[in-house]
Amino acid sequence: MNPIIDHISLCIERGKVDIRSPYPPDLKGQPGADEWARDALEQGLSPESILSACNTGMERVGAKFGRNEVFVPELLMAAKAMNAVMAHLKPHFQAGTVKEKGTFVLGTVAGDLHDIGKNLVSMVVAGNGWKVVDLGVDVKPSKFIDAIRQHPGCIVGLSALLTTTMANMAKTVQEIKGQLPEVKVLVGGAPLNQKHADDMGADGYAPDPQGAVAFLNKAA
Amino acid sequence: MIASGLLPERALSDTLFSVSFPATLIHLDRDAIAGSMGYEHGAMPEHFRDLLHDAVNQALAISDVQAGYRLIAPAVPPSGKGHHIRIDSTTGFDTGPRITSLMKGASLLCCFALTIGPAIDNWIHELSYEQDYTGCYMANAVASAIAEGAVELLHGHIRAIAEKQSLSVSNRYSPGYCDWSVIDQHKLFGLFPKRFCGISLTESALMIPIKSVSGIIAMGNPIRFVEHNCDSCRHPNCSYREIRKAQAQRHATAV
Ligand code: B1M
Repeated sequence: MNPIIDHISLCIERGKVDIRSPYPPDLKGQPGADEWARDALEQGLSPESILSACNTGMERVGAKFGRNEVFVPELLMAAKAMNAVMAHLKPHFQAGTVKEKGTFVLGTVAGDLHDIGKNLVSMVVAGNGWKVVDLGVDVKPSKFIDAIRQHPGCIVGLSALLTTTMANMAKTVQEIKGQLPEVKVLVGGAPLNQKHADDMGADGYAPDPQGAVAFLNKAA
Repeated sequence: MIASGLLPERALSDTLFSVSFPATLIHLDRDAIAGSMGYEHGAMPEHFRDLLHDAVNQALAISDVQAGYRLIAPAVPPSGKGHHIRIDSTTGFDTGPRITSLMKGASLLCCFALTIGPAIDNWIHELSYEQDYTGCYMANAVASAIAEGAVELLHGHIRAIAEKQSLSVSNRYSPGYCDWSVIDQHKLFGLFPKRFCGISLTESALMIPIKSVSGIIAMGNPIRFVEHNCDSCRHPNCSYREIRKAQAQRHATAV
């Protein structure tokens, strides 16, 4: 295998974005995901092999997260490194030579203005090779439904931080399932657990961004 | 925990008071903040520790702590039974059995609100907008810790006021915790003037600015301070429990 592929995987796993990035300290001054991705394309490596290298890196950091060896900051650095690669692959996505794993329509439900948790989920999911359509905060059920219709085959993610807005989340799940029963809905946010998700009729619950990735990869 | 000491306050009426103080008075435990992200004592990588350090400095510099409270003398001291606390002839809080029992015999109820201001929210959103998600995550955690630390100081102030009247104080309880529905925020804010401390409440009971806290503290002779008990809480993945676990571990290794 071309060593560049290994470099890309390692940079993603360790969250090494580019040569200027001081993180992680043991790779300081060395090329990062950005430079290796550029070199890979210049050397004629296929976009698929680059994408697959990224997935390997993300899987490794995801497994470490699952074992409590790393935490959300490391996941975010890995996702940032992955996004640096994605910027190089963008023309290939546009030309259709490589494809995202799928589309994830994400938003914070009506009445709720919290966006940090949702944004972190968005970043990590995008970093794992998904196209994310972020609808923002205070998203009414009708807006989710319009977006689902615009992105056939998508999976939907709903976020909420208060029990009051969890009620709106339940309504949103019901409206989506009522009109588009085949669409898979993932819910998350601080006050939720698996039981809430089941009671709402959602297809899944994720406690953190990595859980969202695991759900999506399984559902894809 | 309660911090000690009186803070500068201004009487807005016989029962309504505003308190403001510099955020630099707040004690921030960086290990506990790292603990809230999952890292065990000293295990946060240096790069993130540096980011955390910068976030603490920046957050303290732009926090604008505004707090206030209303003292209410209930017509009849709470019996501690049932699920409610009667505030006056028209208002009652559905505090649930646990909080209600801890208010038993209160001669004064202190309903408070506190914010660390809108600049913090704006800063966190800017970091998110600039796609500095790690910085944003750190900033969010630091800002939460500042809000918690500020409430601790306010609690200390209220205890000092109670002590002047030879009263003791309870722990603080907030709508949204321990079976007290967050929807009661509307009743709580009904006791304050509009935009009290610069806080507004949305229809879904969300306080804006986001880094704001509200709650109630009981004052009275039979009132005792009871530590929050994680074992009695049903929240499956509360980061407070993680912080306490980390603190307990540190304590255990220190002795
Ligand atoms: C689609 O798929 C997915 C998958 C995963 C998804 C997802 C979607 N969306 C999110 N995720 C997940 O991934 C993200 C990244 O890891 C995570 O997103 P989060 O947004 O959850 O995570 C943030 C990045 C970090 N997490 C946080 O910022 C929240 C952490 C906890 C401990 C918490 C904190 C720190 C705070 N709070 Co408080 N607070 C709690 C929280 C309990 C907990 N264990 O989470 C919660 C959210 N708070 C609660 C409450 C009640 C309140 N808080 C309040 C205040 C505060 C502080 C200011 C002290 C502070 C900051 C609050 C803030 N909103 O920024 C008040 C509300 C503030 C307001 N503006 O209205 C107040 C109402 C209390 C009061 N009366 O003062 C509870 C809400 C539940 C309810 N009863 O409504 C709560 C769950 C605690 C509890 N009771 O167990 C995951 O949830």
